[in-house]
Amino acid sequence: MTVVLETIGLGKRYGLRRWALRDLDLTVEEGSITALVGPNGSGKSTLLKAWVGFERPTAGKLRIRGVDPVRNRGAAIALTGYVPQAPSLYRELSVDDHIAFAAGHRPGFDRQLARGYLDDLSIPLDSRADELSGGQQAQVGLALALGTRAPVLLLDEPLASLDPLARREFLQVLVEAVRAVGATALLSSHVITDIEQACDSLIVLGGGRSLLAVSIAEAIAGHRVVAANEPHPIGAVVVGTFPAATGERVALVRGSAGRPATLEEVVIGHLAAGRPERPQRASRKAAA
Amino acid sequence: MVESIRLTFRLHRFELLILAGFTALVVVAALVVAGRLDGLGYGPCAQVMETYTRSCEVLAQRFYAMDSREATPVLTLAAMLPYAFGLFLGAPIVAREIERGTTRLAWSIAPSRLRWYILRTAPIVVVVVLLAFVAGMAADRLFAARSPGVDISNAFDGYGYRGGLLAVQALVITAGALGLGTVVGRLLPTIIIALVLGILGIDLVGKLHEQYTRREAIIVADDGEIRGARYIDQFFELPDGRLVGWNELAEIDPAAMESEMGPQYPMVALVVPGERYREVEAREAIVLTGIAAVMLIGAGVIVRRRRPG
Repeated sequence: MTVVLETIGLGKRYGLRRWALRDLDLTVEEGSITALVGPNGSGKSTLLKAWVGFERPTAGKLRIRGVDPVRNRGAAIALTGYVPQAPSLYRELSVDDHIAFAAGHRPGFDRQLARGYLDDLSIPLDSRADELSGGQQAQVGLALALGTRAPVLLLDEPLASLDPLARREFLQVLVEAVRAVGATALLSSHVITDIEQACDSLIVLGGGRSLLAVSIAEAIAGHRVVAANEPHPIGAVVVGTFPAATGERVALVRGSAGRPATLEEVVIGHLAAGRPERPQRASRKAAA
Repeated sequence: MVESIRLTFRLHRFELLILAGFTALVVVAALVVAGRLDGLGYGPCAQVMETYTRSCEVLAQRFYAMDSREATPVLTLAAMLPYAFGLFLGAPIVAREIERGTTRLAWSIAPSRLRWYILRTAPIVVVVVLLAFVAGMAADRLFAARSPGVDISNAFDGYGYRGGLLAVQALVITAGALGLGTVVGRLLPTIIIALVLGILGIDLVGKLHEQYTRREAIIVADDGEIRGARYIDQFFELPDGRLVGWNELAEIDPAAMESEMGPQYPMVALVVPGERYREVEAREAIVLTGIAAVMLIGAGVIVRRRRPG
């Protein structure tokens, strides 16, 4: 598979001490819809902004389809459809004005495509942006990104402020559009239940580093959950322990014993580990 | 491109309407007041002092009363226009976008931020210059009416408050506020800082220019009839030909200062003749335009490099 998005030893430091990203090595394959998850401050937004040239790396390199956004931001932008964290629409302009704005600034912008998505969602084109609901504004942001017909879509927590129905609609439009044109999408989000249905790959960021980068199927199939206070099964590799929804403390393990893990548990388990994968092998003594 | 310009105007529709209305008000008021001043018929009296009659005195009273009551407020409003344009049209162009986060959308769509910047800035700057120029022309007309008998195109009356200089001042304040906004990224602080720096900056350039023009000034007899010239300073001419100011004269001839009639030495004035008005105005306009160009280019460089906020 062709790598579309890539970071090599990427680091981004704010001020003198605070590293938002550190030694980050990542690849995203062409045609995938990849979820980028992690707690607040884990570097998700910084990473996405770096790919569109909004942030300059302090260390390392990154490429988008082989283009370095630091050296050639214009070319990187031309390859990208970006949906910012907040919808960022012009409150004075109508939806159709936004489409005209994008068409005026982005060569090859597909007005009809953008209008078509919004028509399908019954979003009135003559409405001012500040008259739209949060979900509709997010859809307009997505339609503008899709209208660019960019081969890579970067979506920075677009689901954060949406209600469950709006999230579903957003993801449905995204998935259909990406699959239709064979684009690649990287979607940062906190809402794991939604991304499980929409995405095929998963990257977990924690403390500015990559904690896990696998397909969703592998993530679920490769992990089990066991009670943390009981001896772990022989051969189980403990990833991390965390409190389950029921209150009991559980451990996410690699292996075949234990109950199947949900995607949320996989993510939480790796975040709980709080460091790049360095799993501890459960001792035979403990198992006995 | 036409569509992008239309959207730029749409983004500033409120400010444009308010300021265009304000400009129209100033222009109409200036023309009306100028017409009323002309209509008093004081012109012939002001030109020929020898024929100053009782009726001229009555006219003069009415003329100067109207001047202070009507012309001065209109000219004050006209002088405020460059600041209003700069602060309410220049400052928001980039600062408001950064503050509201719309630059994240715009700069992620536009592969060329420079093109975005030009399409966002140029239409506003053109409108600002045009509106301020029209206001400057109206102020020209009003100054002509309040200086009867003076060829206003060859006179320093109202220098810096009329004509093309008003447009150039609007340009430089707009450019400064725009540039400041790209750095600060927040609208209200930008407006406040730009107001202070704009007043200080225009004043500084004016003072520096006055120092420069001082070198070109000539000495003329100060008989109270120096019309249209730019007055720089006043001196007493001593019998030996030396020119001295009040303080110097007080040291040289203290008795003259104590005389009830005041010093009896002939007075001379250091002035720039009115005939040089166009040249001096053009020179200051070129300097201010250059400063504006530097600020606009600087703002473009910052837009290319900065984070979208």
